[in-house]
Amino acid sequence: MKYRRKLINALVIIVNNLILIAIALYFIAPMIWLWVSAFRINPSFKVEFNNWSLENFITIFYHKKTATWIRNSIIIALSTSVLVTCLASLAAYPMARLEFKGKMLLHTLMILSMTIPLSSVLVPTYSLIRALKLENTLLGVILVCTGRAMPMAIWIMREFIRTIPREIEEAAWIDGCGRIMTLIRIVLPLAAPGLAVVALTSFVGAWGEFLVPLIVISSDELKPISLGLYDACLEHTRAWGYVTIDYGLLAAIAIVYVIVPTIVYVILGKYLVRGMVIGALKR
Amino acid sequence: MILVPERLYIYLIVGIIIGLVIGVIIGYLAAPPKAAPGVTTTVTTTVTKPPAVKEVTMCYPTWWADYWYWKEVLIPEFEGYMARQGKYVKIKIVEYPSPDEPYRDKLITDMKAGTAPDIVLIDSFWVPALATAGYLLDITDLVEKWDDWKEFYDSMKAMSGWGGRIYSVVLSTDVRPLYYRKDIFIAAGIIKPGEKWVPKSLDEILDVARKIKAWAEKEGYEIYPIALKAGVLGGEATTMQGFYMVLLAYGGRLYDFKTGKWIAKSTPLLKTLEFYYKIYIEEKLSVPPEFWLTGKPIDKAHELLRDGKLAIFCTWDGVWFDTANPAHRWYITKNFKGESATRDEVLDYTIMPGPEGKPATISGGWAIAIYAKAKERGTVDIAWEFIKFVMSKKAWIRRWIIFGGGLPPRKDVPEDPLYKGRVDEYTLWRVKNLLPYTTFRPGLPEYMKVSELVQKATEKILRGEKPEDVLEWYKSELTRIVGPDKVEELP
Amino acid sequence: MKEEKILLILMVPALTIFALFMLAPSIWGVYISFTNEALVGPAARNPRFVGLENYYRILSDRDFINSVKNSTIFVIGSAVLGQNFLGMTLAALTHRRRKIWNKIKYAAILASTTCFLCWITPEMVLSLEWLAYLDYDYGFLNDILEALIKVRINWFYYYPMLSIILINIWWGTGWSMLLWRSAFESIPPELEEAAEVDGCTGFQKYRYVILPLLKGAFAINLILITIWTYGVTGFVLALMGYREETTLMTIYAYQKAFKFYEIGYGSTVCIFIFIICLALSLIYYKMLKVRE
Repeated sequence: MKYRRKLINALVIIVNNLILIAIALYFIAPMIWLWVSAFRINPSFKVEFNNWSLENFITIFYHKKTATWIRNSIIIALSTSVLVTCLASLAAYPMARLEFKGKMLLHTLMILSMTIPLSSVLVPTYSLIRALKLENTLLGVILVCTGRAMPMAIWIMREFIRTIPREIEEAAWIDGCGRIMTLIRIVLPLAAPGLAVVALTSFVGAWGEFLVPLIVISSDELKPISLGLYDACLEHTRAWGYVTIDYGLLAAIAIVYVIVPTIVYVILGKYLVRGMVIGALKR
Repeated sequence: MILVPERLYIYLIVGIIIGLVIGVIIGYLAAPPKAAPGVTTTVTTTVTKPPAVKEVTMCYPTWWADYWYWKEVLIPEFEGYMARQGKYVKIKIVEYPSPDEPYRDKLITDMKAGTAPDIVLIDSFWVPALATAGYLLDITDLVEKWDDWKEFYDSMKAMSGWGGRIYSVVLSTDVRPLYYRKDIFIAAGIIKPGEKWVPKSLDEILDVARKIKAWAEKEGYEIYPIALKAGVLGGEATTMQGFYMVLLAYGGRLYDFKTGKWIAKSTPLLKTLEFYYKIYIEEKLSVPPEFWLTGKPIDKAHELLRDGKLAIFCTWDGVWFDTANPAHRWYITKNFKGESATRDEVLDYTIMPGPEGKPATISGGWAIAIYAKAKERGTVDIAWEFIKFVMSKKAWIRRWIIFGGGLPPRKDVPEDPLYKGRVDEYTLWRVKNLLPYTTFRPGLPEYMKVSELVQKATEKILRGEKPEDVLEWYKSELTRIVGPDKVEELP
Repeated sequence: MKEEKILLILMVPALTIFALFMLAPSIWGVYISFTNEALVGPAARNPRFVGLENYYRILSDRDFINSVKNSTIFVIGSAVLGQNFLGMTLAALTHRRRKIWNKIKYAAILASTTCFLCWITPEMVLSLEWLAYLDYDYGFLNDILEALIKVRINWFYYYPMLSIILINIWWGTGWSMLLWRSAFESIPPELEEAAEVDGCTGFQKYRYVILPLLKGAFAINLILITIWTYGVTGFVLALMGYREETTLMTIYAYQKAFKFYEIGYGSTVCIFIFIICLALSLIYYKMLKVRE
């Protein structure tokens, strides 16, 4: 009998392992081409293991197109991040500390708006951008990304500010610090982790944005990496003509593109994710 | 929260902010992002600056090879020409660097926004859509006062306008011949060496295809006798160089310009579908149908033509030059047996036979037009002078001599000794045999959807559906797309 | 303090940008959908208010109905069935409170980490990856299939919907896994032990004790990923273009606005998507409140 139990246990473990490995393979398989081809010279879509070289990673900074993409992505992501962090942390303070009419309404509005995907307001956003004469500008992209990152950012900062005990602020007031000074000198530094989280998540969010640049930007010099890769995909699916950028370069820039959010999530990983999931499950 | 001393976070934040600022500064210094819709360059002449200089803007697709010519030769010449008449003008080029679809999108957006340049270069095919939107100036009165206008081919005049009014002037155009491999034809005994094949009807083409197929099978060669662009992947090429060419050969059209309705059913339409059916399904005179359904079929088809694996093919006229260009991937170096040969020895061109013995062909081409808002800006006169200047016979020939390519929209050009002396046989042949009989696509906004419908129809044939069924389907879909009041049926 | 109310100014810049670029489009979209705004054609000259004309057109528009059908199939296939259940399975297999966790540690970490990495891949990178993976002539998947069962499949051509469903599952399961894992790991162990003490077998334990606790997570996950999946557009556009079989509602809106330049009509399509997403969001919001 005991052997039977042991056998079943062993079987369960083996089956579990197999299933997990199968699932892991499903996720890993498509990534292989990317990681292999970035290190090869002039690869095709075939996964082969020859022609190794690091050249692609150097070329992407010199090739006019890819270098432009990188520059634009950095500008968009950095600007969005700075803008969001500053504005959201300022806005979060009243949300955290003050009571005012419409606070609940505002909060509800922000939560609701977060769940609406951009593609359901894609055309109106385009029309709005045109009306504001922001079409084909990086500023347009930055403003839309900022707007969309606001609710989450304000929410995060609000939570962080809330954790700072009022007594510290009150102590500062007693010492003669004005409210705004308190905010800047004391509250924000204490909420520094929150600022880091907001800065990094908004950076990563804007870095990975695709739809916003798609509808705003039309000229080649302003395209971020996402649009560059999109063009390459489109070129490939046409019935004629050859892709103008070598697949090795594309793979290399895709890796550069994906490394950024990966690093951020690895560093912040557990904490961020836990926050997001718990946020989704309860208010 | 992660339990790390607060100080660390402060340093982290400060470090990040510094990093961000540095990054932004580097980003902006490295190459400042352009926020304006276009980069403007000005070209000025050496004429002494008088009190009032009228400025006119012109858009230019900067990927065209003759950009420098317009900027550094034509425009200064024009400004000098105007100055001699006492009018001082300046033409400012607004660069539009992105080709194809982005160019069109940007131009249309600018036109709608009211910021487009006074003179615009457009694909003649967009004229109806842009004209009905009110973006192009109606220049009918202007062209009618222009002496040169009578020298333009009727088909070119029609292509320049819409609804009886003229909105543009065609810069240059192209046509579509029928290509065939004469080395295969000679070997199969269809023609003798030195002869040119001139088919009189589509039935004759089918006949020849059958002969080639029989011969190839007997001799053991892997040759597809004929191919027609088909399938949705081929895009507009399927419609224009495949379906439309055969349809015109049968005397049919997609759109009735007289009644303003789309043709949902007609004998030529049915015959065209039957032609496709014959070559792809029934008699298998062509590549396997799956050929057009995946990958890059247009490239592959041209490669088959290059390698002598395809005997008859309809594609655009530029291919004649591509096949003789060593840098091009369709460069011909061998004959169908694999022995070395030049393009002239193995490839030849002929007409697609149309009704009443006239050739059937279709054209596209770019045109120059005036933006409607130019009227408010008061720049119409100068813009029109520029267009006349640029489209004069001498100017056209000069541009053609330097850059080649493109067929003249004017009848008097082929008569000019300067042109005749330099033109190659192929171009002369195109001008004499195809250009006078050419037509063009109905560039209405719905055309794109109808074109897609046509492509899907060819695909249905590829998948084996019967022509009559496909035509019924085409009729119902067309009616759905353009509305029942915009379709008609012809015998 | 009087000063307090003044502090509200601090919110102004953030809220302006938020309102302008996130809220305004929804309202603006409603307005435009009542016009026939277009960039070419006669309508471009005089865009007029046409009331519900776009709406009448859309309801009898076969292409629109096709896109609704496609979107629904896509959502059911990739979100409701795919991501949700794969995420649940993965979480069930890999959450730390399993008794056999130590024995399957490595495989578990491998599977859950790779799942997570796929979730954070930017859309265009995964487009490129899958373009290469499913390619008929050179794709890795076909190479494997050829080696195993001597068959190459032209995924993009013959199985477009299946392809995008597979890709979306690959991309989105990470979120479901995280949510489910959190749910599994928050089941108090005392409950499990109490059930065992009461004599429940494995299955019974699941059915009567654990499952009810998970119902909440199930519902919330479902709503969220449904909303997000209705909004998916990027990689489908990049890989499939405007193919009939995979034209989702979002793709249809994009096509109308950017290929045919019919802004008014495209906006109407967007409104329909928006209504669906809004309805689901409100349900989600209700669920959150109930949980409190």
